Amino acid sequence: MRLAECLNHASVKTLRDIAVYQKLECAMYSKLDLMENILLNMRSNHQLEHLISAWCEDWGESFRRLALHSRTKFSKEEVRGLLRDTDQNALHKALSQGWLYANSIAEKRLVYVIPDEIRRAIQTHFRSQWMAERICRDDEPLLQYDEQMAMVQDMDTLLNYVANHDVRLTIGGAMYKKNVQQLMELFEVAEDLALPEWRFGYGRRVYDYPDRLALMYDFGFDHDMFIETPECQLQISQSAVDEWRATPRKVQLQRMYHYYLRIYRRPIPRLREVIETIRMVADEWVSSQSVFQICQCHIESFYYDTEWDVWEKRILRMLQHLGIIRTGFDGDEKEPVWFQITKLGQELLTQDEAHLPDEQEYRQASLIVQPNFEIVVTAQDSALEAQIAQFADLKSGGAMRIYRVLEKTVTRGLNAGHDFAKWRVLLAERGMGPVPGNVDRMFDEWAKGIPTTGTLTS
Amino acid sequence: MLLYPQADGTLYVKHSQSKASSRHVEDSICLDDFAQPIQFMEPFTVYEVTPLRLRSAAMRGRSARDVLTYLRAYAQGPIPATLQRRIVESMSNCPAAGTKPQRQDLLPALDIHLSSQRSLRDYQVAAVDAFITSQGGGIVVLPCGAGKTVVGTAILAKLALPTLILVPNEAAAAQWLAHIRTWTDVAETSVGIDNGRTIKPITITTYQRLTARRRSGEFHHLARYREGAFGLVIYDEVHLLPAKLFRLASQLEAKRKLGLTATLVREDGRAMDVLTLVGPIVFQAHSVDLSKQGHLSPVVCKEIRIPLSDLDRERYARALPKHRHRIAADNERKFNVIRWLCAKHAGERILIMGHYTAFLQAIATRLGVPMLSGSTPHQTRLETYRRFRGGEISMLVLSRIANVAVDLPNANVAIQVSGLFGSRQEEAQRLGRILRPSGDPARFYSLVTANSIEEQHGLHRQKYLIEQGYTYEIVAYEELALN
Repeated sequence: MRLAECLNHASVKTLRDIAVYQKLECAMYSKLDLMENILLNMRSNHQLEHLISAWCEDWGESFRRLALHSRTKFSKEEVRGLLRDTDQNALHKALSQGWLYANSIAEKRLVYVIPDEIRRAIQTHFRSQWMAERICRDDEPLLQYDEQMAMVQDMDTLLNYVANHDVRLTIGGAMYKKNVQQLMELFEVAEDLALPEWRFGYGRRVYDYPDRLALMYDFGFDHDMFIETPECQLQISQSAVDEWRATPRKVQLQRMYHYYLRIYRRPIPRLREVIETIRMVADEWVSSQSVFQICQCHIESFYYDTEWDVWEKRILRMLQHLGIIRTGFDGDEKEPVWFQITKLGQELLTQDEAHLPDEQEYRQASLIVQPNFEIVVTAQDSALEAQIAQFADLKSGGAMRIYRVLEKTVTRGLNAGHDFAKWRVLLAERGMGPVPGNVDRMFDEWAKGIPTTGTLTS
Repeated sequence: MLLYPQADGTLYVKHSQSKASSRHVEDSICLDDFAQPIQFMEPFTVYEVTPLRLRSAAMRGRSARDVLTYLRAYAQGPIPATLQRRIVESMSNCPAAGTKPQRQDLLPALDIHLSSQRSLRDYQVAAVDAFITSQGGGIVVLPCGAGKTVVGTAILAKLALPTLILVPNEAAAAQWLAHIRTWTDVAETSVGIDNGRTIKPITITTYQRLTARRRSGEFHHLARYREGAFGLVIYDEVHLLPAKLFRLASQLEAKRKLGLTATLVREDGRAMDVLTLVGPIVFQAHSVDLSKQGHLSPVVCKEIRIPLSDLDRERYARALPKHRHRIAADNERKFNVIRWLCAKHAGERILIMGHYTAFLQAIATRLGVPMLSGSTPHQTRLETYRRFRGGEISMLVLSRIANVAVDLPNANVAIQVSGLFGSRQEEAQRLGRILRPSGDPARFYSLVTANSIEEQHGLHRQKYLIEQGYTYEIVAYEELALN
């Protein structure tokens, strides 16, 4: 909502209070005159900057939270909560300063709004203040960790792994270490399996798994893709997984990001604000320490995590996993020293699902069957890979996905009741070249379901 | 060029058609400087980033930043953290070039030049240059028949240092001697096969002699070789370097070490140790490329699956697993196929190779052709090779002695009757026997007993060659027009 509109809806009394606060010399009885004068005053950049500084001093941190909130409309309770208003005075004071307006015309109920121009000016104000505080570098760090879409790829790997393997759970409901280790071998981004003793607060399974896997698993579980059976077995729900696979990949990643916000907001209540600040200042390589100082007012320690732990492990590291930022180091890499927001991150943070740019390349996924029984998938396509995984094992993930067909994987697929003939048709149709003769011949033999050694030993 | 980094640190590379249009023409570094091709699978080449290549790049003044910047420019996906770390670790703390003391400056230079009537092929020149410009030791990988001995001789002539040449057997030693005499103008007296008495400036010896011990346990010849103060040690067929020799070989001090091999794969997984001992791979040519250029014969590989007779099948089924390999290897029906193949290729030069000598002897007797095995006297072997080369005999049956370093350039058909279990190296070496350019297309037949342990061994044996870009055609026994 624009400022002029807000003023138009305001009562003469409110306008008069604003004029007094802003020390305007005008006729206090004429609404038109008041409006014109206030508009004129607040349209002057110099005056507005002056006012914003005063408001910042008046309200401190709560002003920053309200003005930089992702929403522009607030209920009365929200405003009072944000302003830490114990009696009516604070709200009244805010309304008389010219940046917050009560409005009941546009909506059916009473809402409080910050006019668009004012909001933009406040953002610019903070932005330039932080830009002066942040420390940038001109050159590129030596080591750069940019995980891009690895999170959704590894999610696919996890789903395929559970679908095609017998995954048992402990009494506590966690996968056995053997399975987790195998998964780490297959994941594009592996994590350390040695977990510290104290772990809670960051999701349902964070006690059992390392952070990234825990987030992926919890996400899958909350979206009904995983089923923990009473017989301590982990299975997937085909319908939920099919629905997930029909979703565009960037949307998948964004949903995982939103899920991260939901889970991590409990221990870190002001996570949104921190990320919003990061988005504003980290368009270049910035020093982690300097941005930490800007965000420090939003970050509190959480039981076993210090403020710095929260910043480094729970925020930066997880944003890196989600492809939103890339981190950089020059030598010692115990903690992220530098980071920068990625193009993908900008998209995920600012666009809604319907407007996320689609990735054309992912539609053209095709595969190559090699004479050494490896299947190379050139671009990610989770539906295609799910089918391949019925009779092949993922050998290595990465920018390319390499599957390996073995006699035992074919036997496993046949035992699970998958259609081998249909699978071979898929290879022929989506393959960039014909299936090599030696591989095709071996498939013929395996299709008979007779193991090559078995016949003679019986 | 498109580069796809994998989580395990390998790089899948797809070279674009037009190299000139690449936008990073001014790259200060290229992929081969820090990575080594390990597999060729159309349309990709798989590279592995090796510590040795990284170190040698660092010695040439390249930094980890150069490598990482290059990777980022071409990578189509995230570059794994572990790979980045490995690059930085390997390239830091590297001594700059030229800091090692050069003891060999004191060594007398040898009067040796490459004969003016001989000229090297392009890739051979490239291999020689690659070794000369590299520091210390290095390995040159060339397919069988591509002229490893030529490259070795040329390097020897260029460096002109006192040289020790280690070869796997006496036949190979004789070949090296003959070769050095025809390709260079070195004085007759300064080159020779080690006779146990005097050390010549160019000494050729076998791995066996190096490791020979007296009863007291001390090594016969090692001390003499160490006193010889060689400036260059050439390890022929370096993949064969026996494991127990690693320690000894490392005691042979030399300014330069040259390893020559066709197949740097070992079933004991110690290929990396060889690299550490001798040096990084400085040059590698692939047989598929050389075939295209006409330097090697194109090869047709066929695997023929032969079922066991009913009687043998029963024996096989009853036998203990440890005996099954032999029963499958000595499948009687293989003989029919061999006879049929020999008739088909009558007039061509055929090598029949196998694992178990008794069965090979039976084949030799039935076909009436000479057979060479470990028990054949040395002189007879050399004589038989000579007759084969001269065309007096057109067929030879060979046991495992022929796996390496036998120069029979005119053979064009190889029949592998049986093999050493799943050895990839043996398969590649045997194929190498017929790779030399003789005009006719070469044929490699591998006879495998159907529905037996041999089939699985076959799959493993062929892996290396398939990864080098060869293809096998599988033919069933029934498809052959045997009658």
